[in-house]
Amino acid sequence: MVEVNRRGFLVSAATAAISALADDDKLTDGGFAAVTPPGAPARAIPVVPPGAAGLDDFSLRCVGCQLCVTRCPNQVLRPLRRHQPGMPLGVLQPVMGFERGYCRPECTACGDVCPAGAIRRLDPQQKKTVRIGHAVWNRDLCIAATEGVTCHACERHCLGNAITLVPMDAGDKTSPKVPRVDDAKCIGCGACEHLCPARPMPAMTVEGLAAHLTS
Amino acid sequence: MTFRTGSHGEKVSLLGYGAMRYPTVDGGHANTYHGGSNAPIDLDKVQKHIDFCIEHGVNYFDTSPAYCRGESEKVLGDALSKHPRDKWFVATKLSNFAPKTQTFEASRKMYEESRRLLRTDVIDFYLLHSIGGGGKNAMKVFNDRFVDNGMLAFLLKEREAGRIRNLGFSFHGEESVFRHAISMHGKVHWDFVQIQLNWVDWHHAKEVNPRNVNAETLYNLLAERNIPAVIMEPLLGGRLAKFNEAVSRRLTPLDPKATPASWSFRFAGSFPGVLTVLSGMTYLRHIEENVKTYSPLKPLDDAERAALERAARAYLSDDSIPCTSCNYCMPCPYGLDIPGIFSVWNQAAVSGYLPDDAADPDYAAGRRRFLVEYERFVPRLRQAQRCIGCGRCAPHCPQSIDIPAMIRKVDVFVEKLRRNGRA
Ligand code: SF4
Ligand code: SF4
Repeated sequence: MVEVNRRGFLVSAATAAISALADDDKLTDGGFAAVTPPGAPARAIPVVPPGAAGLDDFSLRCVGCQLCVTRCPNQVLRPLRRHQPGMPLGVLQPVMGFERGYCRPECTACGDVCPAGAIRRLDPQQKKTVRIGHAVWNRDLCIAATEGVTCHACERHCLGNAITLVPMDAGDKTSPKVPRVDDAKCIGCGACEHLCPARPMPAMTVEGLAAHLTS
Repeated sequence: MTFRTGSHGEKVSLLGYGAMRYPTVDGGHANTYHGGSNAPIDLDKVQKHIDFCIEHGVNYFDTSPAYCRGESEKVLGDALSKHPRDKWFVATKLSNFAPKTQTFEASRKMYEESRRLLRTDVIDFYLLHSIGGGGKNAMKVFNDRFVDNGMLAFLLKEREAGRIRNLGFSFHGEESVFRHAISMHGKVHWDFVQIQLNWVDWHHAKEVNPRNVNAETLYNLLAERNIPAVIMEPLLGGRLAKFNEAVSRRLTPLDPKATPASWSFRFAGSFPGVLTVLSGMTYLRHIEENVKTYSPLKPLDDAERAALERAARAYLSDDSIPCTSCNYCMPCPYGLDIPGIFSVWNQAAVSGYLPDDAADPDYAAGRRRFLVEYERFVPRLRQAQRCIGCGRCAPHCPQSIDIPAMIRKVDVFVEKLRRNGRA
């Protein structure tokens, strides 16, 4: 199959990954490629932090004090700006987004500061077992499809080891690899969404779980 | 300044100016990490540096169409044009990246463009750039790039016509290609050859990476044929400009006042077959220091040479990644600052803070120091975790570093540090 890579060249998706030299239009040394943070995708169900039992419970308890928002070192938490129809969360109650970071495994800051019992205190061990959402892969945005290269970003950084890479074209082992998500293992931390190189929107989007699960 | 004599009687300064690490307006350099900016070259400073060089006898200036995002030649040409033509020699190269630059027409255009940008009818030193790359296909890559397209024959004619004074090549990589090129000497008569030489690579390049060639082998092949050697990477991209403790202990007692760079420049300059030693000098203090080392050169004595060999073995004991910040791999299409990431790692390796044992009493301090340096010098969006593993960078590395694997190593290391504490 033929795709257009990010430099606008036609490349065969099947061979692009191995012909690193051949499809390269590099002329000079040095300099930096422009970088932009990943975009903020729309979510059918908002994501709330581990320690919140789920959307209903969280929305009832949270007083909107913003303590967790100010303490989140990964810039994941932010106040909800606009009410999402059908969702219990109110404006200014915190939700998660992954443009600037993701919910890191060593961090328990929000549960530690929440004065209202909306985010319960978890230690890092407990936190690892809580599933707050699950990642959804969008084939059309994945750079395996748009640029014909195998990308390891999500698979390498998945905190739940939920991602395996499989050939995009099941019949062709040499086709670029794409992620397959095991929902039972995905905890919804947002590492994949944050580190996905696809622009303007990441090819991985975390969808919240209305009721959090513990595995 | 100590001078050496070129193949046609040129009096060449032992110190050569490498135009690939120009100062930038933000105080960094155009070819290594400075917080991930694409800051423009500081033209005033470059002019001052080149004026200083010429005033102090430095007369060899080395550039390439590829350096500094392609801006090196023009900047050098402009600066040199302020000085009489008989005060400087200029070296540039037939560079090679995209296949579309490798046809005869495109190559010839590259050559003509160099003469235009450098504002000279005569190129004093012209090189086939970086032969020996391409791994297993290196011989074919060499023939395709330089021979079969007719370029070598063309350049020989240009030399005959006097538009090229000295024809040579620079080398990194496959030894067989080097030997092959040397075997052409009878026919081609290389006027000079550019090799990587320093006190680590002299005996230990192969230990650093089995795909590299010890500088001693390369130098001797040239010396046997009286081909003048131009030296690159005398400081391994700056990594030999700072000694780790083990190296210091072996060298400082011999000469407590000598700077690390002066050891390296004396090492490279002491070989009589060396024509000039190139240095990419970003700051005036680098130029001053190196000019001093060679005014005049005090050749190494046997004791010093032996100490450097012991130091080289000590040097290899740390965990450095053999990156010279040449920037050939850049830009990474996904925005990574590859040499910046490696610099932070190497800085830590040399200074001994790559903490791996959380129970160690120095762990907390080392962890903090590493993470602070990393965040300070490499913006988040250019850090190792952003590598997708595409492998596009690796074929460009003259040091044959498996870049994606090394980037991954840093990524895993940083991730471990981050997990061992609050972010
Ligand atoms: S392998 Fe990583 S560092 Fe190398 S070009 Fe690809 S993304 Fe950049
Ligand atoms: S990784 Fe290799 S190509 Fe890139 S800057 Fe370092 S030495 Fe140069």
